[in-house]
Amino acid sequence: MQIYGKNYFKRMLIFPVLVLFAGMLVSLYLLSNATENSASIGPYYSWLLLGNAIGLIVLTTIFGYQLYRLLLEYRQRRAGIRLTLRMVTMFVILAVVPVSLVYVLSIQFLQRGIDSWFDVRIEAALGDALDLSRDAMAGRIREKARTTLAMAKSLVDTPTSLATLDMVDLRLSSSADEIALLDTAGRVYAFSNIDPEVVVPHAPSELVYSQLRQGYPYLDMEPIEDRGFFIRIVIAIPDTARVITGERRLIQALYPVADRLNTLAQSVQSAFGAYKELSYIRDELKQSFILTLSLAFALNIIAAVVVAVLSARRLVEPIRILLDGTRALSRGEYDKQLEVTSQDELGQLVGSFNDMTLKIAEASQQARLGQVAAEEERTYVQTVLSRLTSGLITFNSQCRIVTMNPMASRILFNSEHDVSDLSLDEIIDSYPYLQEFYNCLSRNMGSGKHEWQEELTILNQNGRQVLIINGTLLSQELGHEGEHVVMFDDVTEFVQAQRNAAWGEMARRLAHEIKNPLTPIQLSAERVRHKCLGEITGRPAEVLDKSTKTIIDQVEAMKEMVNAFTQYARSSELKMVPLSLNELISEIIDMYKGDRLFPEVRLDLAEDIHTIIADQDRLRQLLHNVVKNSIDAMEATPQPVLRVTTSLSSSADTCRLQITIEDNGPGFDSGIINNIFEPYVTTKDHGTGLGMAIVKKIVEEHNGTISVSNVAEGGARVTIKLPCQIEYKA
Amino acid sequence: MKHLFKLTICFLLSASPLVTGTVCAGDEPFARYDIKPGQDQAYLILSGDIHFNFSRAALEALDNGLPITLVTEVELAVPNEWFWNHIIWRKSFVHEVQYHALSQQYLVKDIQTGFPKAYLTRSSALAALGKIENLKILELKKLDRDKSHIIRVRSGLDSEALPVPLRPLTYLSDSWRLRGDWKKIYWWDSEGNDADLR
Repeated sequence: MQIYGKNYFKRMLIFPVLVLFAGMLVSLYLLSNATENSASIGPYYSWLLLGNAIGLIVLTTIFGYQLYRLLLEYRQRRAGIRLTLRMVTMFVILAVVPVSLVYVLSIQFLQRGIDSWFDVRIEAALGDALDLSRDAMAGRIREKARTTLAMAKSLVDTPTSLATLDMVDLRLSSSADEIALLDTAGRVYAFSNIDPEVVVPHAPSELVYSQLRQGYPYLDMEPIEDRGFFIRIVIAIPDTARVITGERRLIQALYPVADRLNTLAQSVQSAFGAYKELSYIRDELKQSFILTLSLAFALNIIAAVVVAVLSARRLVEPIRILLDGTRALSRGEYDKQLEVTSQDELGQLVGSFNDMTLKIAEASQQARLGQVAAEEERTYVQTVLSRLTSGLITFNSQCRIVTMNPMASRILFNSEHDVSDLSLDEIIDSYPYLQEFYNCLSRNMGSGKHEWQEELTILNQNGRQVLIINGTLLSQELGHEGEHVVMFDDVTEFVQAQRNAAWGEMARRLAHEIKNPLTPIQLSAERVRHKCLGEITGRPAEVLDKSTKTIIDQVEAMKEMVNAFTQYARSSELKMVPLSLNELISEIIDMYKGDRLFPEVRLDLAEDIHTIIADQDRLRQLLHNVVKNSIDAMEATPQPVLRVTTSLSSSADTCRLQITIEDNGPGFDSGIINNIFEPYVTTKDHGTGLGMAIVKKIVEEHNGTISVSNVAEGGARVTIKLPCQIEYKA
Repeated sequence: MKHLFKLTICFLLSASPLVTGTVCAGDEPFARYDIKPGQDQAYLILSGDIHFNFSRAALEALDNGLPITLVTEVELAVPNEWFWNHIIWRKSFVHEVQYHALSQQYLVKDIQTGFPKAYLTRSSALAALGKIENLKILELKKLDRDKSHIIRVRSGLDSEALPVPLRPLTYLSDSWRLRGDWKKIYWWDSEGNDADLR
């Protein structure tokens, strides 16, 4: 595809310059010929000079502009400028050196040539020829003067009034063209001319009269109108009568110069005049030729430089454009299209470049679209993975982690860690509790099975964690040979919930099945005791007393157990009401003040907690169970101390109320601390094992969390965190 | 246009090393006018002499046989205060003077008629060159008697008639810048009794 841009017309500037150059050459040719052909070209000499001057100014302006552009482009380090300058320099040297040489030599030849035109001998010869002509003319004048003098004498006695006929006779007898009788005042008395149409004689000038008044005859040669030179003889007629009046009579005769003599004399005059004129303007002639030559020289130099610059630009332009194009290409401008400035091989090269960039641009566009699609796909997968509630890890063939979604990190490390490009061994070094996880993966991934599933229980810093792990070996067809995808779910809470639900169901059935017969058993035992104990004495009475007492106590114990089951199994419907947490804690502590095991109580309650929204009965039961556990645990402690602390922690997006209950008892047994909240886990001889399970259930019903730990100085600590459904003090 | 042309040539050639020692200004006027209008029967006429102050170079050229051509322009105009004068008559007279070596005379030729006149001396030839003798300008009846008129006369060298090599010199050299100023003569009395020469 050919593209003609704005630079096209700039490049076409070379043609007007060439036309101007040619015009000036013609003008200079005419200028140089003006001296020789003065008649035909001479009148236009000044205009030719002006035209050349204007042309020179135009070319000089273009020349200056081109040089300025070159300088500017050199400073701007424009592409191709060095090559252009090199070519311009070469062109200029090629043009200037020979032209300068010719110019200098031409001036020398010119001066010598013009000098050779003039020769002293020729000048002398011309002068001699002129003198000879003058002498010849003078001889002829003298001859005519004698003739005229004779005519004057013949008119001495002729009256003026009768002179007309004599004039005709005298003219015919002599070779004069005109004979006239005049007086010194300029009056004409009679005349005769060879041309009958001439009615007035050719009167002499005032100078002639003046000369005659002084007594001298006038003998000379002068031009008469357009008829060439004539010999004019004016002589006073020697008649004394007229002298008295002061007006002497004169006779004037006009003699034509003989043709041959006239021609020869004029030829000598013409040659002498031309030589004299040429000799006089000799220096100006040289200057004129030198001026023409200098104009031609300046024109050649300037035109050569301008044409050199324009030609170099024209030649370098495709290369410069290509350079710009390749630079643009290196910058990633694949859609760059270059201007085709010529139809030659360079132009074809530029065209090929344009085709290439077109294809690159198309390919680049395709790649970009593909990249965008891949990026969108990747983003989509990342989004899906980040929203996935299952953990997902991909391993490469070297068992190094390639990707791990946030949930996998949260399940394994309880926080989001970047473990990309780590191997399993390196992970184990940092997280030893994942040993079982590592073993499971190593075993299954090393087995070469395409798909596998396994349930795994690991113990981390937060306790037991149950994971269901699924693994897939990626197929070779997808280009991921030896790579694994491992997906796992943390089902700990799910398993716990299942277990709790099972326990709840069992407790509900147990309560239902056991609670009904207990009351008749208790009533029957009390009735037997009441009716029979008074009737008998001795050993039977002791046995009866002991047995019925045992029955009644055990039934009572079973009732408590059944009530506990009932509480554990009852529905999670809450009665949320505003209540004062600090008052509730104080009230529960007060309940134990009369107890023989009542310890020293240290309350550290946050003053800024006013009321909270919670189920008052359940919160009371929660605190009661925890406080009672602590008091029971401190039974053997010499100086039991119970510390109850409330605090409020709030940040920009979370607000949590924390209740911490500590004692200085023996602390939790390490064997049960991890499953202290499971039903039937207890260290008490008569405990139901449901107390802490109920506590956890109540906490979870309030969307809180509970954790237990042992204090380093000794004792147990229960930490309850509840969301801030509370009101603060103003 | 001619002035601009000369200025351009002057500018160009002043930079040339070929022409040196030339200036573009003269000190004395080339032509001194001693002429006055008058009436000859029914015509407004002009008579008098123009005294030329030829440069040495020009006289030298004349003595060496170069023809010197002078152009005398005569105009009759009605003055206008606000705009250019209204020219009602204009004529140019071209005369050539040349030394004739054979006859050792100076020939003064009227280019219009082509008839030469011979003079023995250069001064008489130049005097004849500036002679204006009863030049008929316009018929009196064609003039507006209620208005004054201006007769303008100017005489100068016709440089374009010089030989070609000398012409560039005339653009630059004072010796060849031979052109008189306009001579204005106010004339308003058609009776011819009250001509004011200024």
